[in-house]
Formats: sequence, C-alpha cells, structure tokens
Amino acid sequence: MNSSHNYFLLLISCAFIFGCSSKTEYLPIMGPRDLSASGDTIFHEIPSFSFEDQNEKIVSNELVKNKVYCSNFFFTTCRSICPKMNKNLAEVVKEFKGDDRISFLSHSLDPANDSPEILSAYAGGFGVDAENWHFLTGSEKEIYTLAGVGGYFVSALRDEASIDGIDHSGKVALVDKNGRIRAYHDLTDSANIDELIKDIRFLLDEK
Amino acid sequence: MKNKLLLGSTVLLLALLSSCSSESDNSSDTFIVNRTSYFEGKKLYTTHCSSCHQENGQGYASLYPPLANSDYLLADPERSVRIIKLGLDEKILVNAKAYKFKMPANGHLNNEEIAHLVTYITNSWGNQGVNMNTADVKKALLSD
Repeated sequence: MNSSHNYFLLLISCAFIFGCSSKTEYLPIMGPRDLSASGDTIFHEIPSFSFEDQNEKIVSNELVKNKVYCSNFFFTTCRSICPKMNKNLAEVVKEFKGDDRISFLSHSLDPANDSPEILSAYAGGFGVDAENWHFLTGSEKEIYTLAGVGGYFVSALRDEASIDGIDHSGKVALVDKNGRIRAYHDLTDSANIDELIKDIRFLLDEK
Repeated sequence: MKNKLLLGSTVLLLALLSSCSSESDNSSDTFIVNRTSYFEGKKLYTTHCSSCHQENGQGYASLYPPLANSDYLLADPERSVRIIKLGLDEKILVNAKAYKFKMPANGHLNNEEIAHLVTYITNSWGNQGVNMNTADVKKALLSD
C-alpha cells in the first residue's frame, strides 16, 4: 500500500469518527444501566437521602424532586481543595440566587464536627445568602455511602495519613430533574465555573 | 568556538544574576528580610495557607481574613505564631471587618516552618514585618 493510500484511509477514519461524535447527545445520562423485564433501559438515579442543613431544616430528596441540582462533598476545616471548590461554587450559586428550580447541596464529610451551627457560620462567610444553597450534615455513614459507588460515584474516604484526615474529590455532580447524573465539573479550577453555569441552564430548559 | 561559548555562558550568568536580584524582598534601607526564610515561607504558604487566604494574601469574603495590609496580623506577629500552631476559635476584627469562622490548628508544622511562614506573611504584599526565628516561635508559644 502506498502512502497516498494510507492518507486516504486516515481521512476516511477521521470523517467516520467525527461523524459519530457529532451525533452524541449533549450531557448524556451517566452511571450504570440496567434492563427491565420488558427490555427498557433503567438509568442510575440518586438514591433517597435525608439530612439537616445550616438552618436546621430537613433536606431530603423530596426537596429536589423535579429540580436540577448540584452536589458536592466538603468539610469546613479542610485546608486543601474545599476552600477553592466552594469559593468557585459560590460564583455559580450567585448566578442562580432566588431561582427555586435549582438547589445546591454541599455535604459535609465531617458531620460530627460540622454541626448546623458551624455550617451556618461557614455559609454566612461566603456572603452569598442564597436560600437554595444547603450545607448538609447528618449520619456520616449515610453521607459517605451517598458519595460513593451507587450514589454520586465521587471518591471520599477517611485517611488519617492526610493532613486533614479526609481524602475526597473536588468534583461537583450535576443532576437533572429526574435525579440522574448528567455531568461532573472540577470546581477546584475556576476555569470550569462558566461551563457548569452553561450546563445548568441547559438542564433547566430541558423538558 | 571557545570564545563564543564563553561569551554565551557569561551572558547567561549575567541574565540569571540580574533576574535574581530583581526579585523584590520588600526590604527597606533599615530592615533586611532573611531571604532564605522568606522563600521557604513562600513555599510553605502556597502549600498550607493559600487555599483559604489566597495566593495574594487578600483572604476571601467574610470567611478567610486578609493577611495583606492586615492590622490584626501586623499588630502582633507573635499572636499569629500561636494562631498558626493552635488555631483560632473566636471572632476577630481585621481592618474593621468581623471574621468569626474558626481557623483549624496546624499542629503538624514545626517551629522552624512557622518562623519561615511568619517571616513570609509579614513581609509580603506590601507588609513590613519581622524576621522570625525558631527561638522567637518557641518563646511565642510558651507565652500563650
């Protein structure tokens, strides 16, 4: 085979690959899938939960029913990624302040220490004062289970070797009105703020 | 060839020297900052402090107070030694603004590292502060 032949084949392959990717749906449903008895696809949904927020209000899956929501995991005494992640999330929250079609759920990975009172002081420090941003505390086991496999699929574990004692992901999960994960954004990098805002708008407009 | 090489390395050496000396150490005529301590402190700051207090020392919202031009910091650098090591859980006023969120203790930092840090933060971003050494840190921690 000569080199022009090779070149032609390469062009064809590229066209094929781009042709396929252009048909890819924007923000596809993520997570494991299953088949029902009748052969329908069963998509992964965020399991039910119940926590308490910084105002001692119960926040459960009922609150986010038919809503778009963003979830992340942090703790108030974290000195590494949480300050950056939540500072950047605050910029996103400001964009949707007063919009009750969306909620922001920031779960504490150190719930024994992060009481509603401490979370209230922490939340107040951002100066955002948005009713739809909930800082959650509750059963540690329930929070870590929800973060992991079968929940949000983000890493979170107690690690005594690390300075703050907890290793976890800086990703924010974006969930649609049906409780399905549609995207993850690494908010330890402020460059991703605009992308998250754009994706939230996309899901809010989705039927 | 040899001459060209020699000329090349001289130019490179001069460039390196001038770039080093152009790095500001915030020293004035009467106060010379310990450069080794300052640059060690800068590295430690990036690792342990900058997530909250920001790389430019400006702090963030009402959550993390500023260190740059902070009256609270500059009024009592020894107090900051204790805050770094032991944390702080009380409302403070920094440049007339209240901050009440708790700062965690940094018990893992040793006295030498804290000395470098305080030298760095009190002599950066326009601050003019102190040269802190390990003995000063020890003394500050004992006087708590």
